[in-house]
Amino acid sequence: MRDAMHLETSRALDAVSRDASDVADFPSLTAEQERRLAWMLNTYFDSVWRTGRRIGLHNAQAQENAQEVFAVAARKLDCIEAGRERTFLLGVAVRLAANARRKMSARIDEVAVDPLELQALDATPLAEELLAQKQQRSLLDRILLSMSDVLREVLTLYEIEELNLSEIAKILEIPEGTAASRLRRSREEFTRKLERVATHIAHSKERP
Amino acid sequence: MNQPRRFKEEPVLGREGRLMALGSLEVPAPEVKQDVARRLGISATVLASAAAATAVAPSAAAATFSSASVGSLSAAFGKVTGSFIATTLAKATVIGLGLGIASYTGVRLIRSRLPANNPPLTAASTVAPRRPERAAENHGVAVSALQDRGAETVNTVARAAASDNPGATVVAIEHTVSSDSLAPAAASVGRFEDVEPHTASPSIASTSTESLTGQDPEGNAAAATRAGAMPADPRLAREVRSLDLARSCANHGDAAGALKELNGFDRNYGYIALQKEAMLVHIDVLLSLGHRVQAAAIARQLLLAGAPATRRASLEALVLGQP
Repeated sequence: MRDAMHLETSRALDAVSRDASDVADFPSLTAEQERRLAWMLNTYFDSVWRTGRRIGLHNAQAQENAQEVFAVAARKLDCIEAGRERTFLLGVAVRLAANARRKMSARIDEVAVDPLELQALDATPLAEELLAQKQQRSLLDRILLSMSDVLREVLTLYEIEELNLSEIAKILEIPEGTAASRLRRSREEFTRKLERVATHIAHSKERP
Repeated sequence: MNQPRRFKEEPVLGREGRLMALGSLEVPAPEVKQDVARRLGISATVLASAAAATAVAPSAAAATFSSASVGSLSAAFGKVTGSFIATTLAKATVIGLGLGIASYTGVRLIRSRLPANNPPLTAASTVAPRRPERAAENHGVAVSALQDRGAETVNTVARAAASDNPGATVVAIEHTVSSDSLAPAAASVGRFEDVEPHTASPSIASTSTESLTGQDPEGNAAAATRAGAMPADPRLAREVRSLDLARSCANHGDAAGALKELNGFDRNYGYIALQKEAMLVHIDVLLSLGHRVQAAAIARQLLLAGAPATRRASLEALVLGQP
């Protein structure tokens, strides 16, 4: 029974790309379905939106992506196993965001360095906190964008959304070992890129 | 599968952890969610009631888990005691006596940790007076926690009548505990209500009962009176009582005792209705003990779960490792 439901969920995930194109066209919901969808929206909207942002979408795109995710969920409500809503939603979010990203410009290879961003990491007086946070998030996003899609997805789901490896493996439909390997590589790459930015800043400071 | 510690969970938050924490804390503007709900055809009423259900859902899960645990424990206990009784009645008697002594010792231990001048039993434990902003802050958290869960069993009004403390805004949590029973009796839990100073309503004051008139520990003349008796939720009362005890310990410099109470209650029952309030108390206690890393970890969870607006900035600063 459980396997059958999991299979249904997987089929629903597979159909995401096809279904996402006609977002507005989903069947009217029963009162019970509307309540469940509202609950899912309340509970997981932030996570879904944030996943889109970290995977590389702009603010408006992240909102559109989140809306598409919940439109898909509305159509597939009966296939979503109770207790697995988050996995389903984040799975759809990652796929849709990856599709959207592919339509955008290719990923950047080098992280453009803004000295203010790294300085903001080290010292953040309260008065400038908001600005500093914005700069730091910008740096985070650009480092993530400079990574390959597969590494970025795993890193985002593990480090930002705090999913465990088994959940990530299910969402991305890869073996758990592969997920672990991607996570290790992504963490190393993230650290390396951040170090490179720091070194660049240090050198630029030494120059008159 | 061995899972590496997340960057933001490192004892000393590095640059990676700081960036990841910041990434986790970003949330969309509230109107974005409402806009999406509207486009999906979810009515505002359903969305609002879902907000309450969102808060209740973990409670339901926890309650199920708790019931299951209690059920399995009871079954196991039944098997064990059954075999003992079958073997020898004397052994069962010894076990019963042992349990009795252990329970008695436990209750004595708890009572010994309560401050002497704070009547712990059959009394209204009044968390007052506090600084107005602090009281309002807690009021907001507690009320939202209660309202989110649709708690309708709350029924007590606290009144500030202290002539020597005119600025005091009182937030009172009343509960009664049977002094004759080792187990807490069904408790009535108060509604949290901020009261303007010098506005004690005679009609409400006249309904006070002697068993519910409390004295605050600092000798102020603040009195808690009761508006009307309604059926209480024992689970909520238990949480209030535990938090009250933890706060009391913390206020009297016994941070370790407060931590023990919080951890013990969380392990045995779990804070459900007042989960966010408990997390805030936990963070304060951990900080007072110097356990900044643990406090930051709880703060992060609280921020992800939706921290009260009044504490959000300080919690974010804590998570990001700022002083």
